[in-house]
Amino acid sequence: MRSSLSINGVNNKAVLSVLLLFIFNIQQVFAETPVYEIRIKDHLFSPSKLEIPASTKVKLMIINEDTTPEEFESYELNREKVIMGNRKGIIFIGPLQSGTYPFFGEFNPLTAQGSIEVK
Amino acid sequence: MLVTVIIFLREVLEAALILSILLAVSYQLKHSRKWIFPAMGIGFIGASIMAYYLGEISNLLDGTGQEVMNSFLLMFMVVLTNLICVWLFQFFFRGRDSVQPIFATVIRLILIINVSIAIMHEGSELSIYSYSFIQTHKNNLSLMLGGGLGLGIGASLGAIVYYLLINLQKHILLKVAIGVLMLIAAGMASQAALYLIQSGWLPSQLPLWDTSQIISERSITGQLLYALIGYEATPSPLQVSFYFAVIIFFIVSIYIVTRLKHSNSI
Repeated sequence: MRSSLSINGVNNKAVLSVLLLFIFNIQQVFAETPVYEIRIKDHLFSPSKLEIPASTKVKLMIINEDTTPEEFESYELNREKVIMGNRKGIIFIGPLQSGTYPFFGEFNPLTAQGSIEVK
Repeated sequence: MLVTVIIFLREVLEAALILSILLAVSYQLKHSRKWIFPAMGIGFIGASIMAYYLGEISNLLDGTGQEVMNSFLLMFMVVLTNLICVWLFQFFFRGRDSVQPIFATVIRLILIINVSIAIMHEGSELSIYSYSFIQTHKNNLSLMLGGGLGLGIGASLGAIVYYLLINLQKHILLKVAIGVLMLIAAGMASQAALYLIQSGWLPSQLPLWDTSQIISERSITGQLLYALIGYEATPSPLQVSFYFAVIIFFIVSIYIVTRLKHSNSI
């Protein structure tokens, strides 16, 4: 029965049934989600340019190697997350259309700049 | 220093807006405004505690603790804001006498909790930022100046909104307040959905539309609209659904409560 739920089918019912979404989501966890690492060191992102495939959901693992907290923020990706010093955080992004999606560290925006290239 | 001003202003803006609307309606309805003191006290203490434990909170639930907590706080505020709006509507149509003393106490409690969560939610990020700033910079003067300036601009905007509102006629004020609070709550629900999408609890989707060319979220207009109506240039279908679900929820709940009260009194 579960396999008969297509992605679009669930999305259409999203308003009515958050429960279904959770079931759907559990299934997604088991599916392979590609993981990409971004490190923060000396208030710089590395890599500062990350290439990910289009129309794919990916998991960003952001590892803060500084002792100070940083906030990963992107208006284009609609994401913001505080990552404390010497900790890591995960953020799911995508599926995205191809293009460039800049992100920055809100606490050190002058140096901490980067972008996700979706191809 | 400009960075600090912007960060403080962005965080303060929404809390200041909610605070000034609730203060203005309390003033107009001759309801005590003293709830602001415990609300601020609890809010600031809560913000510091939350900031202190954010690392631990983030690690919960496979690293999605921060998002789950934020979305719960936001949804809780949506419910509280809904209760406040129902109360405002009652007050407007049935007058002060229809509100029993016990209910007034409950409302005061709801106001305190709602505003303290708003302050806590926005304030925790500011204390983390300030802590980080103090650690990395030798000179803290720019933090104090920038933070003070950001807070000051935010508070001034809040004060302007407050004085504009209290000078409106009572029935206009109530309509405006209910409308704006409803839109703020809808924006919060959309934000809550976004946090759950970000953490993988809800599925990601392609944005429903893209208005970033018309009003960028980076612009001042975009930021103001974000605080006021939860504006986003590229919302996902789920966010939009949450947004309108809250608006429908507000309208229906106000309608039902009013009808119930009405039929009871006959």
